[in-house]
Amino acid sequence: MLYNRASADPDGAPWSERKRYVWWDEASQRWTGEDVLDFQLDKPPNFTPEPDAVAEDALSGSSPFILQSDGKAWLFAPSGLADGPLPTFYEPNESPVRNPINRQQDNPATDRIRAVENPDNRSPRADDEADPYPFALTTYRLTEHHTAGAMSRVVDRLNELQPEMFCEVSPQLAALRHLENGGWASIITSRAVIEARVLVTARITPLDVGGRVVHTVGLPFYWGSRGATTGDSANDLLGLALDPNVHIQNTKAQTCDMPSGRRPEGRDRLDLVERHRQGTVGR
Amino acid sequence: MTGTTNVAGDFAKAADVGETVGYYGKPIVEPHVWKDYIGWYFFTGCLAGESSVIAAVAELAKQPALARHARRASMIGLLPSPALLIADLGRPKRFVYMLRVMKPTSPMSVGSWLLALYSPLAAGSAMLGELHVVPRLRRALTIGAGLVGPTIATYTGVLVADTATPVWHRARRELPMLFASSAAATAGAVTTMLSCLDGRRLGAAARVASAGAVAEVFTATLMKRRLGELDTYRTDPAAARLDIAGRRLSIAGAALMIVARRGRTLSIVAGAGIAAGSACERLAVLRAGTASANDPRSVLLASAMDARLE
Amino acid sequence: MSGERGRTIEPGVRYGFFTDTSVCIGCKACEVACKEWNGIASEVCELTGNSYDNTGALGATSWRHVAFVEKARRSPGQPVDASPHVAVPAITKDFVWLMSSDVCKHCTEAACLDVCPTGSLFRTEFGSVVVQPDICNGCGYCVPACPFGVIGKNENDGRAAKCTLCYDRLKADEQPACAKACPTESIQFGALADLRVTATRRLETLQSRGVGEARLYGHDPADGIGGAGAMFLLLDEPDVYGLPPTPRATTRDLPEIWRTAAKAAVGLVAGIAVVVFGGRQ
Repeated sequence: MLYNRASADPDGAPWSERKRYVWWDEASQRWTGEDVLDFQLDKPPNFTPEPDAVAEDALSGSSPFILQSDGKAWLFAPSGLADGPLPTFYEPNESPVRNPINRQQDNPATDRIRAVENPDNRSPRADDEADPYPFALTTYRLTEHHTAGAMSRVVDRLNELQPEMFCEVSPQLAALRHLENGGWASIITSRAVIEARVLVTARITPLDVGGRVVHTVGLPFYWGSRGATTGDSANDLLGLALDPNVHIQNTKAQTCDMPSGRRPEGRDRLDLVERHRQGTVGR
Repeated sequence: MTGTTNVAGDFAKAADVGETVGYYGKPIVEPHVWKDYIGWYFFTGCLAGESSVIAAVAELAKQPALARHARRASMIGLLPSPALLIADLGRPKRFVYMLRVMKPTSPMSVGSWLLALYSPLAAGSAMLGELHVVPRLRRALTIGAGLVGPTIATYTGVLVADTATPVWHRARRELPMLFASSAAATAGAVTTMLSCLDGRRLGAAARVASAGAVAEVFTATLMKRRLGELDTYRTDPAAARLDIAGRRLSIAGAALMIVARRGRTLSIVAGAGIAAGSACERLAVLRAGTASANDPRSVLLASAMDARLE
Repeated sequence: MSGERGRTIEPGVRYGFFTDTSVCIGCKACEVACKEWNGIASEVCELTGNSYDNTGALGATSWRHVAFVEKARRSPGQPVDASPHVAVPAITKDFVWLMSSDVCKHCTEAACLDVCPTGSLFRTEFGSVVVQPDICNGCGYCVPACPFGVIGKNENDGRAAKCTLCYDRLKADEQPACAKACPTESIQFGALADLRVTATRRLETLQSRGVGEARLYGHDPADGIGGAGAMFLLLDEPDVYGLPPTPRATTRDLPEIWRTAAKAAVGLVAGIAVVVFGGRQ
């Protein structure tokens, strides 16, 4: 258990009988207990570091959060966070709903890659305005493939377990967009359109967000143009808005639309994306 | 089922989370993998075995013409039979492995041994019959073939019933009867046709053919009625086509055989009809079996029917 | 092999599987391990649309098959409103994703073995049922005889094939590949007598926790196949998983069928005798 020093009070006795995990044994001058200690075994609870101490010796005997420079948990981060000092709730860069607690919809410190190839669908519309990308889009893994698929798509043992790119939708979304289980659908974002086989599943539930139904489209991301099995790449759909602290891109939360049927090829494919961006596509 | 639903699989409309039977409607048991060679073997093997019975009885009744034509009919059945059986094997060169062991629990093993016993008797008697030599030996061999013949004519019904295919296993009391009467019809028909071609229609053979055809249709009807909802002879289009055709040909052939009297041409047509009807019925058995095994409902229904009996 | 010291898998003892589907995670490691060990070809087909099951069924080239069943409890006739601005009906309050790794049952009374005319299928010293591929001539009789639809005929190869309980591994004192690969110990391999105890205990544990749907399958020596060498703990009716509710070895009815044939044969001869002796020529 990480930081389990925090389960004992500053004197080294457990805060709670029900949650006794580690405690200071005065007789043997060591920590002991039920769990493996995530702290220095022989540092007494009342240890005070020297002013010029470094590394773990600079942490006192009652500083459990050993990866922080002062050993304390930070609710208020005076340094180190690009979007500190206090966390708050932001919607992702693309979201079908308004931020319910902040007037600021999304994180202003987000590193948005400004490029003509990286358009996004940033703010949600007013309720009465049609959103060209009304559904939430997320990506995830499958057991049967690994990495981004390039290494597993060449292995027939794995390909026969999951042979094709597919998307997962709820029965309600399938009804809304006239999708059939085993049929084809196109998934379209500000960036691109891809096609995938449809798997209708009750494992995905429509969300009831303040009385409004928000549908989610799920995409595994293992396919590409090369390999023993090929298929459209989920990555083509994704825009880049990087987290301000660690610059990880927002692959798990985007918005999309989902017309039924396969996507066009060539020039028509690009035109479809463009027309959708300009909101001129009927559904 | 208690109101739980498998909601994956076929969503024709999202609102219709229709219940597919079992596991995505997939078969619970496997259908047979035999090609039509086996269906034709049912026809030729039974023709051979049953014709030998006619030949043996004819010998005992001192009717040499009947015996001669019946022996020829049995050859028409016997000659293609091994080829049909071997052609259906996945590893045809290993056909001798059928005689590797003697296995009473396997109708196919029992049948293989019976066929191995029957073939030299039938072929020997026919050869001697054509050569008009050693009549006593010929008689002995003919009677020998006639003793084994009924097993050849019925074991295929046992074979088919001894499976997990519901429409077959449930009809295990009727299938051997069906195959036997079908055999009689075919044997009688072919023997009649041969005798007509040789100059004189043999009434006894004709009567065996008609009686056999009538018995065949009767047994088939009884079998299907007892099958009830499991009857894929009716519900499966491929089986139904063959079953209806077989029934019509057998009845028409039997009727024609009766009214033809001594008329040779009509008798040949009648005989062809009866034989064709019998062949259709054999193939119908295979089609009905495939449809039954492929439908998970059949297995569940048969299971429920068994439960009701207990 | 008997008499070797230190062996954990003894010839003469009956071994089998207990598959606890309540802990199966649907990873399909069993399918892959089986194919890898036995050198079975992979056949990449289309997406089936049947949840995450793209294998379909057991057959000549699939000796382990993981089934996926998505189950939602809802009252019949409840409409699903698809318009986007209406509250969503509670369709998924009670939802369960069943997963189960199916395999040959290695029946005590094995119909496939009984009907095999070449003696290719035989009972090993570990109580399993195995096809000898150097003897099988592809007659195909075992295929419709199996009450579970397990064994298949490989049309490319011409021979029948199915799970061997990793006969070669057992002889080398190793557990079957699927059991070894299973990360959750859903597939447990052992002496059948021990597995019966394990299975019963597991059932009791689950039922005491309120999992009323839990049940054992293939465990009962009084069933239609004399009990299976591969038992299951299921979380629903067998037919939901594609298993027959009351499997029966067809051989049990064979004496009755032969009796019918004997009657038919006698009737045949009698009938013909009557016709031949009775009428004019």
